[in-house]
Amino acid sequence: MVSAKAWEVQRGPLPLAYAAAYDPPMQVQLSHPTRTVEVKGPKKVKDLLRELNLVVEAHLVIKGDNLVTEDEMLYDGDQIEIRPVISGG
Amino acid sequence: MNCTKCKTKAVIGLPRHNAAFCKTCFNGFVHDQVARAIKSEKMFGKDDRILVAVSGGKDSLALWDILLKLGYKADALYVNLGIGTYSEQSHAKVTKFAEAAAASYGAVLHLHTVEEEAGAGIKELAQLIHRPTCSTCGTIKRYQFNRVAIEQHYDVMATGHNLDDEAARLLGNVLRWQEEYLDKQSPSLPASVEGFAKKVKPLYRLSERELAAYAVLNRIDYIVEECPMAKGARTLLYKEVLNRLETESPGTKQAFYCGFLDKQRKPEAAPTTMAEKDQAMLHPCSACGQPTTAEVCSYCKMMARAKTVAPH
Repeated sequence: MVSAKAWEVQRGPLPLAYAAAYDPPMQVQLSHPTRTVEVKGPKKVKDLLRELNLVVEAHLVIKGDNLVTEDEMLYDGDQIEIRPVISGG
Repeated sequence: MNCTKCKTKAVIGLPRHNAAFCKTCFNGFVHDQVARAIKSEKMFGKDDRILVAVSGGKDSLALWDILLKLGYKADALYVNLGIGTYSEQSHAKVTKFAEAAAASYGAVLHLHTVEEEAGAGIKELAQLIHRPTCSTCGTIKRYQFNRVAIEQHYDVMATGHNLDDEAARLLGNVLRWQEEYLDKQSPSLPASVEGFAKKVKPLYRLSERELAAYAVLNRIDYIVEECPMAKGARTLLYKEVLNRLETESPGTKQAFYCGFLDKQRKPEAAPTTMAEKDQAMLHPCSACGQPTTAEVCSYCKMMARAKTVAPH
């Protein structure tokens, strides 16, 4: 099955009613404790962090294998990891 | 967001430097910051043998990686603390890095296992002697790193303490006015007496987030899980508070810690009282006569300006 984004690249915009049902929400992996939450896209990285009440300075956002900046747009179907960076006792 | 230097797509924004970098330029930035720290604090030279204290976390593995890439002779020591699966995992990460990356530079990994020498892990040891686990851990690590550095004739011992670690420690010391600890907050501590190795912190100019980004971008596989013993530690609360301040006002952590270092470096002037300072700087305002540092005081200036712009 192709993603909604790939379908749109090949055939043009997906009708809204289908688009909502086609891709699952983005999967966001969090740590301490390890868990996954679903968040509806599209959404900017900084808005995702704000929605989850997380401070930018204490986290990295990783999409697939790549780091993404706060202004990057995230979409439904994306696999996201929000990694805390604070350590030490 | 584009890279400030080469204008390609950025992978990280650094608000405190008002910059953003792609992977290549970010690596250059990190290496520059470490090189500046080493030079400005006279930490070590290219001929010195360095012993890096590694834990399996992002900071110490990144430090080992950076020093080797900058051309320094850096070996490492890992102390296995015997904290169940956490120690097993961190040990595995260190071994993996040593074999896959450090060995190609001819670097060596030393190992000390607490259980082998003491017969128990640090948690059990701490319970036996009725001391907090983190303080027991700190004492053991400091002792073993110093011992190996001296016995194996290393010129200097390097730890992965970063800007967040130092700012949080400074905040803790200042909140309690523990002035006796402030002298030890320098990024470069000399081998003050026979039997003490010189200790340096080459990452003090880089934040925890920058070091985590460096590890991710350079595929350094580190232990992301927090040490189970550190849960609820006060340092973590200080870091959280400082990160909230940093988000609202980028550069706060650097200004706090580096400002402290600048003050420490300046020779102490003869103490002056507030009255002596005021007498030297203040004189009567030419308009109203109240004390001011300027010709006309700020109140008189403000009122004069208000009168000129007020509607008639």
